[in-house]
Amino acid sequence: MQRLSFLKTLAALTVAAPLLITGLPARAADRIVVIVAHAAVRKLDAATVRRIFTGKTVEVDGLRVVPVNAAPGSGLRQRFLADYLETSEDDYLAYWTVRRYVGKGTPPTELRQPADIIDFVSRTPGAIGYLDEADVPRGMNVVLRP
Amino acid sequence: MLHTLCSSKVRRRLAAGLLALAGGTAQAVDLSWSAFGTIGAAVSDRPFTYQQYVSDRPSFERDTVFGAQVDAQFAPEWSATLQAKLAPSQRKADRWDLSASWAFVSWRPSNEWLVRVGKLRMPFYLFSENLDVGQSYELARMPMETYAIAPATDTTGLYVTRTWMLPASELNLDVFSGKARVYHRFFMRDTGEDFKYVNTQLSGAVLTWRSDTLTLRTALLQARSKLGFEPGYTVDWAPGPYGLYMPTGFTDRIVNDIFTLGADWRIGGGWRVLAEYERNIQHKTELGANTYGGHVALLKTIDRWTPYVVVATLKSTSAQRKLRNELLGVQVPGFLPGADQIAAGIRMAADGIPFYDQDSIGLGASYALTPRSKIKAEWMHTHIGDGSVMVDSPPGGPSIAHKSINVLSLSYSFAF
Repeated sequence: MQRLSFLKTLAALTVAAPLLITGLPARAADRIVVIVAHAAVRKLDAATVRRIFTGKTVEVDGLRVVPVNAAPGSGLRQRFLADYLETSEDDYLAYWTVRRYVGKGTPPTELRQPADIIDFVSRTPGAIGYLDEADVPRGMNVVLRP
Repeated sequence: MLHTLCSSKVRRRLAAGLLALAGGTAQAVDLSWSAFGTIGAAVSDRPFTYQQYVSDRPSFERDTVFGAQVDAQFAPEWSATLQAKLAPSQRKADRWDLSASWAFVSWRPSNEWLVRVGKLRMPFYLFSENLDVGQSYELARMPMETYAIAPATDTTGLYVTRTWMLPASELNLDVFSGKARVYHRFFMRDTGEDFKYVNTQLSGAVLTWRSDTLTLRTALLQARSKLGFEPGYTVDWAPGPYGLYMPTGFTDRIVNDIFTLGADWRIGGGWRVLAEYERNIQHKTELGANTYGGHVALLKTIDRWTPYVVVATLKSTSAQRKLRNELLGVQVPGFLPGADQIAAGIRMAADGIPFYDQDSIGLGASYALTPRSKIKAEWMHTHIGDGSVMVDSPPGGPSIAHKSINVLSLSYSFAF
């Protein structure tokens, strides 16, 4: 009995070890955010993605782009902002507050669920969004991976 | 200049865009609402009025403003913006005005070009365009030593922006031309305050270079103003008999050339430096606002706190100082008929010169309650040298000079 308890403890420690070392939930390491786009959009580089989501680039190769964001505060959005824009939610909000009130545009449309993003990107020409790689459906146009 | 900037390619796109807009209006319009506001109180340690509203009686009128903005996207390239603002009137005392501060149509045909037509604010200083949105900057208010000289005027006209994307930065050239009816507040010791307007044609260009950490801006603006009141500005005053001064003539048109330089540097570690310089050169009259000034602010963001220190100065040129001091020094001989009226006239002439001689140092802090709201507090110590038209000198007494003013400000700002 005592040996069984020891084995259970050992197993639990084995599972928890990555958490203790990295400080992250085990699944977070798998949550790679990828940039997805309507079928007509070609591959993008990180600088272009950054300019699209800050309103500085509105067309790529003559195609009008329509960026779409995940909901404010969502984990997906925070990972995207950190990985691709190298900014925080607060700084991103502050950026768009200024941009709106200098008369140079409004922030991208926001959608709550990954399914909404998939639907919007699939049917909107020029649409560009982002998803956790695990949520990307087969056949979707992935234009940038980190 | 605008013609040069607008290539034939752009003109073709404009024509195509207009057609698209015509078609787009039949489709769904994407509306986006937003609002901003500041509730601000300010009080000084002096009984006389400073910056129109601030005295030893707390005032909410100096900084309080509310606004709402709607952005409508008609088509991918076309949008329109309407901004309404509720703020203390610039036309009358003790009144608030609800006005359409912005109303313009935007055409963004490509990454490089942005054309806006309508009423909006020229990007003259670093924070000109978003000056009413206190949530978007850290200082309790941008120093009047800089921002009061070319008021952040909402102008109706044409704005063309050309952007060059560089490897790690961008360069923007804004060229604009438009008209505005600009109201000015005049204060005379003998007659009190009065509001008059000038119809002004504004044209200028602003060059802005931005990287992640540094923004540099320079602007050149020409304002050609036609006065809406008689007899207009005095061209100059010249010594006359009995030590008196006489106007050499009047003009109903004045011209100002205004030049600015600005830098916003995020040094790292939460440190940030803001610096702006302005030079205002007035033509057609020796008695206008002929000034130079600016400010430097050092900020340090620590979590939600951003304390700062700011120094600012604003001076009129020495020629204006000399003339004003001469007018203030005139002793009207008592034996002259109407001596009192003559003295009052010369006093008004001196008060009417938009003269500035002041230096300020301030300490303040902003605290981000949420990403969309801030509270700010500031103590600003201003020393008035030979005088300043930002100060209302009490009736019957000498012009306020060589005095210090301490102003405490507290505000809450939001934007969403």
